[in-house]
Amino acid sequence: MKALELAAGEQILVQTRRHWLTFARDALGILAIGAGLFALLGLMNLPNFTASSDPRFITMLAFAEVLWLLILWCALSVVWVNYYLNTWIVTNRRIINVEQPRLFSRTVASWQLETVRDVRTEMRNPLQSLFNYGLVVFSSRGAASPVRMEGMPHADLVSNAILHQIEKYRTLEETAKKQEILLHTVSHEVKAHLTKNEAVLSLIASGDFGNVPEKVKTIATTALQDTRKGVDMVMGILSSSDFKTGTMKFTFAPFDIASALQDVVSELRSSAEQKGISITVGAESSSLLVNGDEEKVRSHVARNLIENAIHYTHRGSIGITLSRVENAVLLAISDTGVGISAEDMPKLFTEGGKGTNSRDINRSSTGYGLFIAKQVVEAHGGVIWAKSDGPGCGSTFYVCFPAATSSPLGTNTV
Amino acid sequence: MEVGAPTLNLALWVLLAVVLALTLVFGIALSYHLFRYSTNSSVARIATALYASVASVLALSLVALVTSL
Repeated sequence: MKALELAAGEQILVQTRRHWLTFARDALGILAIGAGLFALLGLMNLPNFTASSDPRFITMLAFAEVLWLLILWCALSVVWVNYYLNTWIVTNRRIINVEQPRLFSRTVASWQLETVRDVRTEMRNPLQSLFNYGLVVFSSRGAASPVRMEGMPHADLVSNAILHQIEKYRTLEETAKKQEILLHTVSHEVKAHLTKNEAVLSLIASGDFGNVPEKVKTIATTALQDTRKGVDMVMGILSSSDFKTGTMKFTFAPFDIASALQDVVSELRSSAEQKGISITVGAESSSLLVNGDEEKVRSHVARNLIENAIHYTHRGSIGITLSRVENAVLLAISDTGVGISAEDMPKLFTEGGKGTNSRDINRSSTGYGLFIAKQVVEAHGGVIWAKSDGPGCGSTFYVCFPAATSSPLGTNTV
Repeated sequence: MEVGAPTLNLALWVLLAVVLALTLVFGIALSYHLFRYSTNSSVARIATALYASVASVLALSLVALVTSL
């Protein structure tokens, strides 16, 4: 269907329209109405009547008959177009019905396979058994009454295709859930070990175990940095898993995003200066209130975006602006860095998505940072997006949060 | 009959004009709908041609009948 858009990875399994006999039935109805007029004229014994009538009357009668045929032809055309354009599509994700109840009215409805239940077929008369078509009925969560797929050719095959796909979907869902739990458990274990290692290495590097040879100190410092990267990655996986399972907790309260941003910039300024990059912050107002989880916005959004800007900028500057746009607060972080290619753009906010540059420039990239940032922003009712004119042209990341309407009054945990 | 003939003729011509206009508009709408939503443009083309052929024959018959009056 030209007007129907399928999601990425969605495949059509069955595409069918009603059995041709259902069209024949409707068409015969129209032809029967048409034949009715001529039968009426026959009953009136018209040949004898017309033989003695005025020729003008006969011409007008013929005019009326042809006009009647034209109307029937138009009606037949409508019935055929409606039959032809009424379509049922079963994809690997949903069942779609393109319905054409009248000529110029068209509805497209779809039911996700995970909501579909109790699929059954019915063949109600010998004609349906003979020509192998029937009714497929299924229930769907959210639909008030069962959905009926009337006049389905090979109804049993359509029903089997739906059931098979539901089963496949459920198996995949269960497997994904199990994998998620396993990943969560393993990540927790790994995190516990890495945190212990981090503590020990930190103590060695800071000299808490007494004087250690310089070589050992250097090794401990390097190992500490690697361990921290490992901890960051595991934390990313855990946060991502929490978002997917819906177990991420937010404590909402109005906070000053301008102040939070200044704190993050102060923490990261030294690492930017080490690379010779300047950071400028421009806030429209000294205080801009946002209702949200300050800690998560700081660490997963502000810190993440500024760190990325530092990583991907070799020379030049990073500009951060914060402004109020109507009922929202807009944060823009622009850099003069490597930029983003058009093919990397769609991967940007996906789980584990890494751009071409991240493999060479930011090897420690976990691919979870922007995915988590997006989840956090969306949990706050905000939007995050990026713009870049292409490789070498720098990039700008925008985050828009709804502005808090009142001063801090209390907290709300979700 | 003789007295009302010009009026009747005029009424028939008006009716014919309305019918022809409606048939044309209907045909254009039908064809647009088919070409827009059909997955197969050949079917849309054939269906449009078939509608137009039959409708033209019937419309021309109507014109011929009114002219012969």
